Amino acid sequence: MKDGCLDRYEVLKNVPLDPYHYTVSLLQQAEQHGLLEAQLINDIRRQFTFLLKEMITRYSQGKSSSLRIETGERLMLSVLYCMDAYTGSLSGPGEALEIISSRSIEDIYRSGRDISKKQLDECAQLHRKICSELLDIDIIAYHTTINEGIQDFLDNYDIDFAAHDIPGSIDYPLLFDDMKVQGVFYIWRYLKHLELENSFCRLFAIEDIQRLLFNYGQVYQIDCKEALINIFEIVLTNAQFSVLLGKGAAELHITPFHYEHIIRELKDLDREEFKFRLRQAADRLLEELGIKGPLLREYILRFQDVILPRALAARDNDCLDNVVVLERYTDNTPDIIYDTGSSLDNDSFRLLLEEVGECTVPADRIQMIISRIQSLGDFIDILEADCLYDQDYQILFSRLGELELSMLAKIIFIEEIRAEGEHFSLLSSAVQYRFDREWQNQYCLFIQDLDFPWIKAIEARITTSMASR
Amino acid sequence: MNMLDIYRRLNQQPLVEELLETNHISQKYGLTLYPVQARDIIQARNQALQDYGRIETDNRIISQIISSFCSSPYLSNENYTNSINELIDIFYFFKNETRDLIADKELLLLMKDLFNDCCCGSLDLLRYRELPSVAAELKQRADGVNNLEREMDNEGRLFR
Repeated sequence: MKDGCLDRYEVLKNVPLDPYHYTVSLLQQAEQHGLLEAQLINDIRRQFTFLLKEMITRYSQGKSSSLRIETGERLMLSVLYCMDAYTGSLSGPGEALEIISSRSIEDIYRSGRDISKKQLDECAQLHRKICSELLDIDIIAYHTTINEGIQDFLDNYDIDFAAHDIPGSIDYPLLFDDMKVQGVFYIWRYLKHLELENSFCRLFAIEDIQRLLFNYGQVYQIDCKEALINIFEIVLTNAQFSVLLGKGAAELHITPFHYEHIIRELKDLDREEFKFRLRQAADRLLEELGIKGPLLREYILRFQDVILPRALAARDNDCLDNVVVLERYTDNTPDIIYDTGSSLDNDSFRLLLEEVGECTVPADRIQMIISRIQSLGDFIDILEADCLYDQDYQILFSRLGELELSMLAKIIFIEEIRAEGEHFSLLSSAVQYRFDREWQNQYCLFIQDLDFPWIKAIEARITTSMASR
Repeated sequence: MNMLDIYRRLNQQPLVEELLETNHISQKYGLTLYPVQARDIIQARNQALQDYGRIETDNRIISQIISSFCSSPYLSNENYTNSINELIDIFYFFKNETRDLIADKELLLLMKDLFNDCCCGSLDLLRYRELPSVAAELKQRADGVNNLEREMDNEGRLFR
């Protein structure tokens, strides 16, 4: 493509384009800036309408002349998703607009569908590789996500009619995960990041990681097996602090004695010095562990922006031991509140979801959940299953006791609790933060409406469990 | 350019002339539509689509409803428009109720048979007695197939 053709699109370099709805946002901006002639805009509209009608006919197999609005919207989003796959693969907005102006909308859609299909094939390959290199760690979400969630996605992904959807339950949290990305591109990125995280964890003795997670569970009074925690982050944090102590990077155990040393080392540093020491430790860690791959290096260095404010805040609040996991010498099992054995099997869980979805009375919906959910994992799955309305969350939370509400707070505010320790304020965190997940925002709203003594009681549950370590 | 606007424009508007063309058939049974009635029917159809949250990309179904029912012994010029309006509403309602498991032609044929036979021309019996049981049966059958697929899936996994 000649540069001259693209010059007139220079203006697009300075306008904000929505990367998650690229084609639509590009066309909107092009229209606003007069980069497309009215006749061409009408032609694009006409072509898109025609393509969508064709998709609707294919979807209904010609048997229905009408369809539910939600179904139609889903088909439209699927078409746009594939178009984005192609336009987003081009060198920039200028080229994308040039292509949109010169090629048919159907052609662009087909090219995007081909790209999405290739991405799906790559996901299957990546998945096979990850399955063959699973970490021997007893965390349910890690295994179910890889063995069941991703497999469900690969089996059920509908590239024609729901390319933007993610069938399958992806529960295991990654350190860096952009949840605004949709469809097969989300899963591809997820698997790429998971592969990086696994490759890092394999540099450590698996027994050391198991021990570290046990200690982590003791700190937060949770059963790691059921928790939604990121293994990589916990391992990397301890490895980096281990280097800071002058120990080997592969050494994950940090004793209370070592911890005193860290405190002495870090207590008087200003922000820049603190940042420098952490970065120095990260560089040494990369060297000692022989990490040469640029992607993993970048991933680890990106973590520095996460660990710095967290560690600084924790040091200032005198609770750095919420960030670094210390070795414990007791073999007490953690105080497990939810019994993993009482999780619902897949069919019972699906049945419950269906019944909740079909029930029209909010109080009855909540009663179904309360009476049949026994484990924290299932409870979180229900909250994330998108089957509840705003009012439902409020009713549901109102049925929980201090203990359950404090457990949810520990999941939502894990970062803040780590950084603020006993100074953690549930109310101000609930007011201050917004989350991607609806149930977490609803929880914050619920907390804001509670009486102050009730909030204090929940807070006490959280901080007491930390103080009793 | 708002693609969502394009989506909303997908709804096809039937033309009065298209509906009046059904007079070629209905007049054999003594029934005639006039432009004012055709407009009334189009309005009822638009309202039903809105009420039941549906869009229509092909407007032939209204003419098909008229053509299918005009031979019914229970329709007369007195109740013609109202009956067609009601039948349109019932049609879209049961497209939703059956989760689109039934094709347009099948539903239309079923409605016609039930209306003329066991409902003896009663729109209430059609809406509240006959079609709900058909919808329930269809949903049950579909759920049964889904459960079977799920069971097979689970079994497959056990041996993986």
